[in-house]
Amino acid sequence: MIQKLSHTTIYVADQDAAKDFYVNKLGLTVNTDQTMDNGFRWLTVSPKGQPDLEIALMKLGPNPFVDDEAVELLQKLQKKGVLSGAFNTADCKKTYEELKAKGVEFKFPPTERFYGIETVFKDVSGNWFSLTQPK
Amino acid sequence: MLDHDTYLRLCRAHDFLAAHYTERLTLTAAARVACLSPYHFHRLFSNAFHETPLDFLTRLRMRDAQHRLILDNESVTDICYSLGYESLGTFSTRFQHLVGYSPTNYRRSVRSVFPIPALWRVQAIPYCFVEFYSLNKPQD
Repeated sequence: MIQKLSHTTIYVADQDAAKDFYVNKLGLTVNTDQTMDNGFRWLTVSPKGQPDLEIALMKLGPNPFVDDEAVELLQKLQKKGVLSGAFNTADCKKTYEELKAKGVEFKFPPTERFYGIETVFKDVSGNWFSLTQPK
Repeated sequence: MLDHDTYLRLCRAHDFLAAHYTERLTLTAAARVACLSPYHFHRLFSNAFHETPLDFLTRLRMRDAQHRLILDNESVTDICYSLGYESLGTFSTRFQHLVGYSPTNYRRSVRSVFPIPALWRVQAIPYCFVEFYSLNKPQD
């Protein structure tokens, strides 16, 4: 029986820049960072409160299962904000102020919704994320 | 979820433990970083991060031990003491409990599956990626 989600992937343009963003700005922790001799880098981060969930920061470039055409498609989807995710916070306003001060780009300030208070930010590769303080 | 300010303080303590996990640390020292009493710190840390401070420290130490057992040729004793353990017996028992092998048998079993040193690093990567990137083929 499936019990939990173990891995998810975020495609990034540059893994060093992504690591700096997710760890030093968003506050996630590095789970694994291994580079193989052929250059493939397995870099995963986890929210502090979810040490079992590995978010793979995968370099968006041609590789054995993503050809040039697929890379171009993924980059277009990324620009349109289709490649996205969602995070939770206990205080949307305070987190918004803290992240903005660190240079994170937001689409709009914290806004009341029926499900809570929400804002949306972008990572350094163009992936958009909802940041919600649930009701 | 915890209130924002308390969570920030716990994160500072979490980062402190992560930065000093090879040293001998006390609950009191970590609690001081979070400006909380040891009792409250332990309870709040466990609720926020879903593991006790000791479980978190042990996880970091054992992961470090696993990498060093695979990638380096240090003795189990040297790894044990460099990770802040005072007793080889305690270290080996905890390692076996978490990993399923004694430190020596773990090193032996990983190296028997991947006989070439350069391939030992694949142990950290899910096998589906190893297959796609042909990382299990010997490098030229």
